[in-house]
Amino acid sequence: MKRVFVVSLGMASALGTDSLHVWRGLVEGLDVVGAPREWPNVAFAGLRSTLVDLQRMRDALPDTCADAPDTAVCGAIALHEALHKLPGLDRSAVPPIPLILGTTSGGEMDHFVESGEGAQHAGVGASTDYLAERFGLTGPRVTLSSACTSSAAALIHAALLIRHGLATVAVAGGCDRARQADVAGFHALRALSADHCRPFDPERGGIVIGDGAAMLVLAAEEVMAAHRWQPLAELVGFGMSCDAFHATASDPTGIAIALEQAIAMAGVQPADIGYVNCHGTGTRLNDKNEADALALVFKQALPALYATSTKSQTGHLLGTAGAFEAAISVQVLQTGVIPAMRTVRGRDPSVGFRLVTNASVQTDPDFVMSNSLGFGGNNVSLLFKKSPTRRSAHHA
Amino acid sequence: MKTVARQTPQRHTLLAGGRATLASPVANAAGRFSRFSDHELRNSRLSARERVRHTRLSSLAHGLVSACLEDLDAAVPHQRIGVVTASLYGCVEETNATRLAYRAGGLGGVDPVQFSKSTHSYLANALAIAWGLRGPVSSLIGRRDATLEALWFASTLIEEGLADAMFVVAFDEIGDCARRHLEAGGAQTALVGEACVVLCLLGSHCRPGVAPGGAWRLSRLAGGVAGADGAHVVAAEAAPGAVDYLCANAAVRLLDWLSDAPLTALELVGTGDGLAQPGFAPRLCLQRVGALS
Repeated sequence: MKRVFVVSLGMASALGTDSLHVWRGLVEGLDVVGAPREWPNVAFAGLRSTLVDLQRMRDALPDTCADAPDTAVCGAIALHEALHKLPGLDRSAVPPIPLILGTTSGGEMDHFVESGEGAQHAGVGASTDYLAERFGLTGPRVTLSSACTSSAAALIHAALLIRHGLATVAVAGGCDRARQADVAGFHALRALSADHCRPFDPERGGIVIGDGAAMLVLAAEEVMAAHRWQPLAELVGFGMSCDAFHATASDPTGIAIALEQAIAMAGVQPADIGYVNCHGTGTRLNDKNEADALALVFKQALPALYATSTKSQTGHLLGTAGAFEAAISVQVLQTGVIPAMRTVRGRDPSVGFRLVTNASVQTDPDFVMSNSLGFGGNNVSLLFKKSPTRRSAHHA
Repeated sequence: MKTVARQTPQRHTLLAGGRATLASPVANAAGRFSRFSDHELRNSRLSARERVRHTRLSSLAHGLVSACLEDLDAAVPHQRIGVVTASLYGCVEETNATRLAYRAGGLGGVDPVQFSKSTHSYLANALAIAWGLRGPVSSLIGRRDATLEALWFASTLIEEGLADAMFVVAFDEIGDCARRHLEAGGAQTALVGEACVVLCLLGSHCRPGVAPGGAWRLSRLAGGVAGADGAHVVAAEAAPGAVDYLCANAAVRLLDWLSDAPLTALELVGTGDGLAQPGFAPRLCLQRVGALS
């Protein structure tokens, strides 16, 4: 089967409107948590979020996407960046390029149902349609929606197209816009934090909701060579599993299945992995179960393993989280730097791995794993290998 | 550091069977739309307590998966079975119910069980939880031919070694949101109906006797590549004048053709229709490896 390389990426969130600013914000500990300015003040006065400022995002749109529906704005910014950084992409020389997106919200069904307007932008697949059409991606067009694992699963779908010879370049990512009703749902589950997201902290209080987008361009080796693109990383393993346990709570043994699949596919040992980007939502149950899963998989290698959740800075980007954190993982491989979780003040007793809290750490891992866990027990694990070539530090 | 990637033994995927439930157009049609009746939705295998955890269509799918598991006859442990769903609208009616609950009751107005049902993968997860299926679970959504992509995705997950069997569940529910959106789309077709179809994919390395009537080898065709010689080409859409089962059309037609016609090869072609714009049309090829009963 063909090897799959990450050759470009783009990101947009409250941390920034491109991957450079997002990365710098992470490393420098930029605090973007605040009250959601676009939502009713009375109802959401106590909510802490990392929701994007939509007008700021619209100001960053490429001219060709000035008419982007709200749900596709961040996606258009991220996709524009990802494709713009690929010099000399000759679309006539490759099979039609797929666009595989993960999302929980997708199109603007809420607006359509309320007003009867905008049917063409409603529906969960509408953002995928808009972005594929606007950016000339004429290959398979797929939308996956599996809660918080949506865009991580999208990366696997895209990688499979390349591995099995059905594409040589593919775009995969996540594009999500948080909805008030969803926040009310997390509130009903008592899963929201009153201040910050503090993954693996004994005093952690829950999730900080956010939104945004991340897009990764994957390529087969021969196309990468033909275009003289330098790989950012190689996707060497992945796993998917279901806990088959509960609609909202997770099970460590189910999580471990996905991690072990990714490790086995790559042909490495757990001790070879230098860093894990965890799902780490900051809820009591998720973080404990995920820590237990890491212990099951890494065993004696656990104490030496660095593992963090960048949701401490980014918030939980819902369907976008998987791709966003995969992009962060690629940047960790590129720079050798693990951003610190600035909001975390202590270590939960269930944590047997090394946290990075006060300051970022320079470790230069060879392999980085990125894990996403979703409602219903969906688990996705992605394993990336360092590229022999590096771009400039702090810029992927 | 030298790494040696795990080499999965060469395997391909078989379509080993399937089950379908379609809303009766004669008995249940209201205008252009046909929905499952309460009687059709009642799943006697579910207890009252279990039924609370199901949506309208996941309770139907539960019964179909039960029958498919009986067909598999324990050939594959449940730990190695996954679920991929394909739907045009997904669980949008549950999502809308959450939205209405929020509108009515504000921040404290949403029930946590209702909220958990409003993820589009809820149906897939409900099946996995009910039957202890620990393989990959995913949900493809938003296109009329998502079933073809789902079949390919599920088959490839088997070929990659992440599962030994996969259930592909094609469904569409026509509630207020879907009906309003279909009407806004403007195109007037024959009756549009609800459907739930479960297709069973099996790795070729599994016990071959699970499908006494035989099975079909599934593969995907790249652009410009011809299918098998003599393949009968079928569009993944409702036949002229037939009930439109939205995303489930492809699965319904597949079961019809594979069971009724003396075919040796079938090529299933996607419509390329999204909700708004046409796009890439996926193509699957199925070649008979035995007689399907």
